[in-house]
Amino acid sequence: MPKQRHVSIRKKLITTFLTFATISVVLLGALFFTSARKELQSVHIAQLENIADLKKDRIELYFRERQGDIVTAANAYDIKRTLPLLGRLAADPSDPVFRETYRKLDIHTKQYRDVYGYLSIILTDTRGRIVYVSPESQMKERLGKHIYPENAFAEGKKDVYFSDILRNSAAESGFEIMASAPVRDARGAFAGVIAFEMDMTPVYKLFQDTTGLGRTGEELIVRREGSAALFLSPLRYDPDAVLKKKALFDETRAFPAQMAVQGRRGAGLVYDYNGVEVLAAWRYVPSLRWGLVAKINAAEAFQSVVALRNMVIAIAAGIIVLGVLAAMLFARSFSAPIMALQKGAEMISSGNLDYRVGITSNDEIGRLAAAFDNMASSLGRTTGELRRKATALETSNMELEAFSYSVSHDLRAPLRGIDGFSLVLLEDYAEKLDNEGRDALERIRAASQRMGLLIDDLLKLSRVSRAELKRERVNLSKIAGRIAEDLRKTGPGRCVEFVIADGITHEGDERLLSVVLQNLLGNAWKFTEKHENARIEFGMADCHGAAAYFVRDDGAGFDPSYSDKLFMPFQRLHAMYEFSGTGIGLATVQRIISRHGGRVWAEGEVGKGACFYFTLDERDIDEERHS
Amino acid sequence: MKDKSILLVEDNPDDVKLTIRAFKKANILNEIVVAADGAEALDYLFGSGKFAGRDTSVKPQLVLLDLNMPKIGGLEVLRRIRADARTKLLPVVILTTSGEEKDLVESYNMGANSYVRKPVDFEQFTDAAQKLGLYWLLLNKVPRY
Repeated sequence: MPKQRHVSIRKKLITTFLTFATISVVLLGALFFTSARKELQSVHIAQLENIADLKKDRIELYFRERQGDIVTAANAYDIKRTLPLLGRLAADPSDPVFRETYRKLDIHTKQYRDVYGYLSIILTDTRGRIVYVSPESQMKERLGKHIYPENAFAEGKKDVYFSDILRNSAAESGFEIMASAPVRDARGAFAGVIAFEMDMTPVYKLFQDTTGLGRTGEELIVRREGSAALFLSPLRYDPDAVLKKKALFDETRAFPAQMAVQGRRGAGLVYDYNGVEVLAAWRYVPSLRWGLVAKINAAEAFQSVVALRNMVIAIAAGIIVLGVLAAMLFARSFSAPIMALQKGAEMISSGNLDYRVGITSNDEIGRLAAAFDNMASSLGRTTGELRRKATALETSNMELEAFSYSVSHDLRAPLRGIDGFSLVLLEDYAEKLDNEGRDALERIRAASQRMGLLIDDLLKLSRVSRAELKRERVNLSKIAGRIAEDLRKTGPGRCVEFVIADGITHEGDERLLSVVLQNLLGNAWKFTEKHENARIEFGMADCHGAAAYFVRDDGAGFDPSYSDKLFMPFQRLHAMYEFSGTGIGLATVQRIISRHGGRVWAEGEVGKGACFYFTLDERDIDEERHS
Repeated sequence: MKDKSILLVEDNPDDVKLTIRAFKKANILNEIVVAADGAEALDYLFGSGKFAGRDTSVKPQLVLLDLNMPKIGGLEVLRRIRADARTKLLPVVILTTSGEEKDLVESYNMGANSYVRKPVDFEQFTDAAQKLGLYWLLLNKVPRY
């Protein structure tokens, strides 16, 4: 039997369950996690976009107000009237007329500083030179100089202009924006530029409000500087970043800042300036040329879903462990009765037919066990029946043996008496008998001797049926040769050619197969005795692919219409006076061949010889029996 | 010639008569003592029963033993003969109707010296008896004891 690895049902069940559970839990978890993350991301993005839009609106609103301020100031009568005058007087600040004019204007401009919180109010002449600055403390330093930045004049003389963010130590935030606008005199001619320096603090305050941005979120503004984005607002965790920190366009990090300064509007999962994955929304503020970014770290944004994922993993692990335990218990409850069945099968096959599995569960295993027990019961009954029959058969065999023995002994003894005393009569009282009497006695003797032969042959037939078959390789050619030699000795005067094929062997009982060949060759010898020259052949022929052995002679032959009677006991096709014999030889042959699982048949014709075929070890023995 | 007797153990009187005739016809003139069954044969050999007081030193030259007999069978008689020091060397020829292989084997196992099957044909039987007598009574040598 080839060796096969034994895998218990328990192992198979657990493996199957584990595979199935793990795959399904992992799939479900992954599906759940991705969809939750996607959902959460879209919620966060929407929120960030809201924040970004809100801040953009606020910034624009704030600067529109400041625009209003400066336009109002530029159109103020005092300023329109005074600015051309100041332009002429500013060459000498110590001039009492200048001082008077300055003082009067200061009363007007002071409200912008005090009420609106501007750092300074500046006026320039038509060429951009500063002719007025409030507060007064800056007069000495700035009067007569060109206004800085240059765009404040260049753009401001055309329309309201907000400069880029500038450093200003005087500002609370350290940074300012200069707003500038053209001033026209009473006749509408360009008289100069008015400029407000604005502290960035109120703007930055807008950004310090991180409502809705959690622990890591922040908002920032940037502007384009060459092929980089320059940070304009203090960062939540880097207050000194203003005008210092840059993000180059070719880097993957600071993606939202880069997009914003290029005038794009959008949102997504990207990397920020620290290289951290963030959810961000970006906007462009065209009036100020600013980019605006609102962002939150992805880690924080997805914290809840990650926590949820961890919880799901923990629960799944728990479920799998519980499942494995359940599977083990189930497998045990499943395999225990199967093992009981296996033990039952082993017990029964080892001969203990009274063994019962006795499982009474109401499932398929219970039914199997019940069927098994039923099978064992009926096996027990059948076996008992067979044993009884075997015993009966043994008894009848022994009776038959005893019968044969007494036939052999007790039937022959009286025959010997009949023959013996007939002879006594013939020998001692011959002269008192006439020829007819003597002939009768001779016939009595012949009959009794013939009956002796019949008894002997019957015994042989019965012995052939009862003898145990010993199977070995038998050389049929050798046996046939030996029998041929023996036959020759019985008739030295006869001229018979024996043709015996070499090397024919078959598996079987040597003694019984010898009896077969003795009978067949003996018959051939007997039925050729009236021919001067005879030929007897033993060989092998092909019969439908199987080997058939034959004994052929060219003797008296037989009428083929009686061929079915050939193998019946006591059936003779020849008269006694023609050929001797009891008619039991071929019956014996058939019995032996049949016991070897073969068939025997004959072909012949009167006067043209006979051929007896036999096969051994054929499968379809029954066919022969029925035919 | 007294010590050259033959003990014929045979229960069938026909066979006894015919056997004796056969020996006579074969010119064997030794005395033939007939025991009608196994018990009688043992009594004769060991001087018991109806043969009590018989001089057991006078032993037959040959025992012709049938197998199938009432009371004590031939094989049992043979076993007792071989078991006794006085008779264990006695030549015993089984003379029986049975041709069973089993009987042959058991007889030789018990120490039979020969096994002859009685033929139905009386002429053949006479022939066999003549050869038996010639061989066992004339040719064969037995130790003196």
